Amino acid sequence: MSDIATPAFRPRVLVTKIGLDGHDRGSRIVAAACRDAGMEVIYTPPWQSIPAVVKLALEEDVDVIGISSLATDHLIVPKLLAALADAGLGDVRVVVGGIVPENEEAALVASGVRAIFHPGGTLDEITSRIRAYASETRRARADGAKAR
Amino acid sequence: MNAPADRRVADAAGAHERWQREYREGIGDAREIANVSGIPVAPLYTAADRPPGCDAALGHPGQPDYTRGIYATMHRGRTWTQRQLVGLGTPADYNARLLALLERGATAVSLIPCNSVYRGLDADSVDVELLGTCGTVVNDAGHMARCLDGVDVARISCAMNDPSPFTLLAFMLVAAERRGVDWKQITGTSNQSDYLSHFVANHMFYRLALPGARRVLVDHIAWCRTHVPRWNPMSVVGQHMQQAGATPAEAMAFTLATAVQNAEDCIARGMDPDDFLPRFTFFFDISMSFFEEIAKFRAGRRVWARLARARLGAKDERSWRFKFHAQTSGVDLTRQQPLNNIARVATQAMAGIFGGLQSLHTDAYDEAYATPSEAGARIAIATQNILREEARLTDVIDPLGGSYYVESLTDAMEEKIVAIMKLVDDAGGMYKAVESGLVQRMIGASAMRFQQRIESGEQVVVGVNAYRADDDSEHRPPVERPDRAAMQRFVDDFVAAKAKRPAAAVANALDGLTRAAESDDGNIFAAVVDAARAGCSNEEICTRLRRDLGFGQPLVIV
Repeated sequence: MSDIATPAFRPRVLVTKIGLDGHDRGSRIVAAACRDAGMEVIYTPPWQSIPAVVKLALEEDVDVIGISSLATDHLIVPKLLAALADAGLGDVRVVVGGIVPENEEAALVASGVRAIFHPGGTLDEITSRIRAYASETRRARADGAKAR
Repeated sequence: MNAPADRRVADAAGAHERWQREYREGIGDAREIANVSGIPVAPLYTAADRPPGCDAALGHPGQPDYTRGIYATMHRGRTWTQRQLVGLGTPADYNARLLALLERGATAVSLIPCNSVYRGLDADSVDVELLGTCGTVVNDAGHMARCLDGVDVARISCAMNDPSPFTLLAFMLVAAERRGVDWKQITGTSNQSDYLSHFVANHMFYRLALPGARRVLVDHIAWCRTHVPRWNPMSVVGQHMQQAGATPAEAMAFTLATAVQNAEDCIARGMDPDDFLPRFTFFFDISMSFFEEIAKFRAGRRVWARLARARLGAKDERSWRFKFHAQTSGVDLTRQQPLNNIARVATQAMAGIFGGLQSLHTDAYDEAYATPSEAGARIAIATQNILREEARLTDVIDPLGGSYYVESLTDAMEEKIVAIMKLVDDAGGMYKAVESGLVQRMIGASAMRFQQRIESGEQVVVGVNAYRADDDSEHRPPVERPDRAAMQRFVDDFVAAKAKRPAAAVANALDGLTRAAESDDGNIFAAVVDAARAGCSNEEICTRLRRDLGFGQPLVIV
């Protein structure tokens, strides 16, 4: 594993959509921006099931999962967080982007969502924060390995 | 007072040069400006920008090529249909909202089903959290009957947001039949019949693999022409593509190319263009690029008239008329300072009205962060009423006709649209261009370009990349979701009702779908109606057809 402080650090990011919605303009643009910012991007079509996302996160050893939600699919993101924890992937940072009403943010954060990106954010801001969250994941894993 | 004629001519001769000089001296910022479609925009347009004889070529409203509108009376006669999208919760919730709207004078309704319906899944296959949050859960003919309880379906025009294989229409026809309503009286539109646009740009919708979807569409059009003759079976959708990032010119070009593809598929089936083309309608997005949108509609209208006549061989003028519904642009709305969206929606609606639309949906200002609230929907309707009855935008037909700028831009947009259509034709037509991913790649590149324009500040978005405020949260009220316990009871009732159906009849109806799909001359949509009558659910019908015709995973291009 390359050191997170070096430019060679390439975060591994899964950009996906769970649930029922298929609006994918945002997820495609964010995936392309992450790729252009030097990350390894695993991109899926919409409508992934929660078990499929967990399996992919495990197989691809991702640092961050980005869930794009434009039509209320964020309501099942807490189920994804629980499934990741059950699979031993509790250290993977999950971010949500899209349309999330303010009064529903607290429940997402309480379930473990690291950040919520709203419309109007810049790609620079999104990619730099994803990079930082990926570093957190790697550090947490390194600490976990040391503890063992 | 008039100056002598010779003096006016002399002034005109020197006037333009003088303006050019003073403009060059006075302008601080000489950068080039282009619209979203990439057409350069000059600082001034004059008679010199217009080709000789162009005014006569423009024609009159109601006369080909319809640049100035498809009807002689246009908005002086019938303004436009105010068709707001409605859909939430259970069928009973939808019915209550619908009856209230009808009481307030609405004459046209639309039904937005839950996303689970689009995906071809019944309520008992989906997380209950997601049911009814974006549309109504309608899974069988009984649910549809409940939605339309107390609604005179012979009198009210019903638009169904109903992708292939058109189960919602089948459910509605069965509900009407059970009430003794003659199908020949039923009016409305299959709003989501354009499978190509779903494959390209709006992956919301359940879809079959491309070849299957293509066949089901032609079956649907042919069947509706015979059995529900006042129904519009085809709505060609540019809105999805523009919302996904296509420029206005691309959206218009791809839409016209799609209409040509579908019409040619119908003609290949032996249908007469003058039978089905009068039942083709179009659906577009109206973005913030005000004059560009007006020119898009004016140009599209005349390109279609020529295509329908020259390429598709239609002889009836009704086939040449470009009837369109337009919706203000959701992606242009901002979460920041959300009340600003009311101004955006009003501006977009004006562009659509000046563009000569037949039907309008104005977005609610709160769509950038929630499913629209009642208050948001009320303001959206009021915006239309203000533009029509206070600002009186409908007093004059095509009021911008003859404007040097609007006419020059209409010509330039037309040229651009025709050039993009040529690319599609060279790729073998819209079906092939979608199958190969050409259209998707073009739209993806345009979406990225637009995002970069915003990020560089070249495209200002008030409250987002300019004029930002520290606290803009005050106007975002909490969003309410359907009552989860009530939804769970609805699901339980549905499961119980499914178990009570005569199993043999259901199985036989589903086999009827397979028989139609396997035969060359069976009509698949006729079998869908039979299945709806036998009590089959949306998921059962969709699953069977997916099995027989294949499931179309969209081509994903990043």
